[in-house]
Amino acid sequence: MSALRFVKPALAAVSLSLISFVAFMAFRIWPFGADVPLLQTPEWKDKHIGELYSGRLQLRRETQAGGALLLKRVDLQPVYRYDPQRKTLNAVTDKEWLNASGPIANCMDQLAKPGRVRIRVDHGTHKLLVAEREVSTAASLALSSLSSPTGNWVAVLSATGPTIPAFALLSGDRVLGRRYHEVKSVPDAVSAGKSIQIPVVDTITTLQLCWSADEKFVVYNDGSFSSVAVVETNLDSRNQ
Amino acid sequence: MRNTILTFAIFFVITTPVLAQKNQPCHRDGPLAGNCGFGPLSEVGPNPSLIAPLKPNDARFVENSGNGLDTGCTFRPGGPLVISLPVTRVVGANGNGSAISLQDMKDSGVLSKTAKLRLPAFDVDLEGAPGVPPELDFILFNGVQIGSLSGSNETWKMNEFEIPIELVHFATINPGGGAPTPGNNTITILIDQGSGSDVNWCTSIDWVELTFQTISPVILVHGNGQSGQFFVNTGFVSYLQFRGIPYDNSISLERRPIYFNAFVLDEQLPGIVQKFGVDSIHLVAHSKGGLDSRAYIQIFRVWHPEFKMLSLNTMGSPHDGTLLTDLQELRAEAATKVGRFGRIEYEGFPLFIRQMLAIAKPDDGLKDLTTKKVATFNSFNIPTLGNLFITTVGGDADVNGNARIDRFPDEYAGLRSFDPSLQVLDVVNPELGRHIIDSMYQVLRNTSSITMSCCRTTITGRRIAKITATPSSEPILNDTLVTIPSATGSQGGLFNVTVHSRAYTGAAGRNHANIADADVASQLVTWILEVERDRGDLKPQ
Repeated sequence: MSALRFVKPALAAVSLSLISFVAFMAFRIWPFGADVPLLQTPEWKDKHIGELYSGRLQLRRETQAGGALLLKRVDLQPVYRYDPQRKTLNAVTDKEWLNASGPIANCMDQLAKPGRVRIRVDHGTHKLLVAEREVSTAASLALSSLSSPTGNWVAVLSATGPTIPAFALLSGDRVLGRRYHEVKSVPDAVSAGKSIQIPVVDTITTLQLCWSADEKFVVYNDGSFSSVAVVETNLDSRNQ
Repeated sequence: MRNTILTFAIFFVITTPVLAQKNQPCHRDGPLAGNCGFGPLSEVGPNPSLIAPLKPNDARFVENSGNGLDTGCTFRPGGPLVISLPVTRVVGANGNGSAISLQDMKDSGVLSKTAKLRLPAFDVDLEGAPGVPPELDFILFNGVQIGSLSGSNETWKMNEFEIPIELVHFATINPGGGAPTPGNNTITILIDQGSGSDVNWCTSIDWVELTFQTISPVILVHGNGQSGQFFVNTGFVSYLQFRGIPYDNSISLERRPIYFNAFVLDEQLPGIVQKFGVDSIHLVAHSKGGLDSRAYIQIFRVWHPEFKMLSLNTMGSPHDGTLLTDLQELRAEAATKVGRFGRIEYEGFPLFIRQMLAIAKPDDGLKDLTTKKVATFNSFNIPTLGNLFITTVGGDADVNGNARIDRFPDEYAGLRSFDPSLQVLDVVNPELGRHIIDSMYQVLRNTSSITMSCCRTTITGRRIAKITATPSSEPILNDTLVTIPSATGSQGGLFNVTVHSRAYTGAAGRNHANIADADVASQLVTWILEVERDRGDLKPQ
């Protein structure tokens, strides 16, 4: 009778521990929350994906001095306008793009432009390599990186994981967990500011990065262009 | 009259010695030195020999100015002539800096046994002169005597020497990337070594040129969802190492559409080429990496005149797409059309295909491999491939010819190393793992096309879509992911611009992983050497 007295509390403690563990893991794996909103782009979603000129995103500010950030796909209308104050995205006409005076950033060209030092993510190990030297990231699994237009910075996307392996060659492996954006200096790989959690569209598609020409924004979009996330870098490239 | 005779006499007295002197040949050195006039010396200047060196490239290195060159005819006290010749090409190392034995390279015919040194030398008086020994100018390459200069009085003569390749100091890879550190080679001319303590002869060198033959590096481009480690796991890298062929497997691509990865390749490839100090490369690609490489060539080849693509060699690349991604795309489309409570029926497919497709969601890279998308890609891409040396290989995974994929004999061992989920299944339930791979094999083997019809509605309002496989008239051999016709591009037109193709079938069959094994590597290397000897750096000079 005296032993049974301890069974109930013990069971309760075990159950509580189990629930806490499950909750902890769920919270860790499931990408709850984000520091920036996920902004839908329904006019672009699933259109002409994978074609030669599709998916070529361009960014420009409304004026040389700043203003809203305009996002354009070279093969599609409309243009989207991101308001940095309200953190909202609205579809606008091509006219706004043509009337804008900020320099244009061609996102695909940023991909092809090698930086001063080689920066890459080894997709086998999910490590970030700067000049072939392993560099730690905000979350343990590095997903992608992109050098800024001046080459002074690199934006890095990483995930907390874990990964679920591909299924029978018919699907890609999935990287679960929260996504973090961070900016590091080049070539010393020192973090510039805090890492920012960005929303996850799904765990199969990989997010594409693009810098605005003035390096004030990094835009993330998913493979089917269903949505974007816009991160302000708070960098002053003139300081570099 | 008397004055006239006197004038002629004086003129005769003055001019006779001069004329007599002019009849003597010019000697810049030796006991008969003199008679060379007061004009500019012929052994100095930018190209005094009037023999031009050949145009330098990544296998021919020329030094036409600097210490030891264009010195004017130099006697032993002014010597020795010490000429520096940097070699900016990496030979004997891979992209990761690991060393390759030069002996291995020579043995497998990817590096010439000797290098050729050419240099025009001036006034090497091999015939000597009365009372003095002939001119003897020793030449040393990196401190080792390789011979002596030849020539004749007052003339430039081209001197050529065959140097053991081991004597050459090649460039070394910079661990941090960028151009390699040049190998510094020193050519020393020890002047007039046969005169003892006397100083008799002089010489001069216009330029130096060093040439050798070696293979251009092989750059490995992995497929969707893989990394450079794939080529290590399959044994491809081991074969390159065995043959002493320089390679780089550091290309790292995400699961992205073809054209997207073309841009990523352009970000990575030039740096790799620069690292080797070469002006030509070979691409070897597996699976989707072949299409990514083709897209890269289409867009960026013209923008990189600093290096040329000698060959593109693909292994199991879906040059005409794959019906498995067609099936996945149609499944996704049908799911959207029938809605949450709808149903998708499958006709003409193996058992459990519904369950498999429900689990397997294609990524952005796989989505780009439908037969329709690749056909569009081909229409733009193939015309741009020009005279590129393209080779392809494809395989059939059914090694024992019983029209199915077996665990015994193990016909998909390589695929398991390719895919961790298959490894787990092989432990938990081997038959299920085999069934999954066999289902993929059967879809490709027995299907000519896939269609989707949507939608009929049941009495309860449930929408039903149907995906139908049209049977093929004859079995289509495949590696479980890509058919042989697609790997060789026989339908979309790539085959017409391909130089070599090979299908691995029957007992030599291959699945989608071991289509990149060491045996296949040996076949590709044979083709790569063919193009090297025809138009590459192994072409006889």
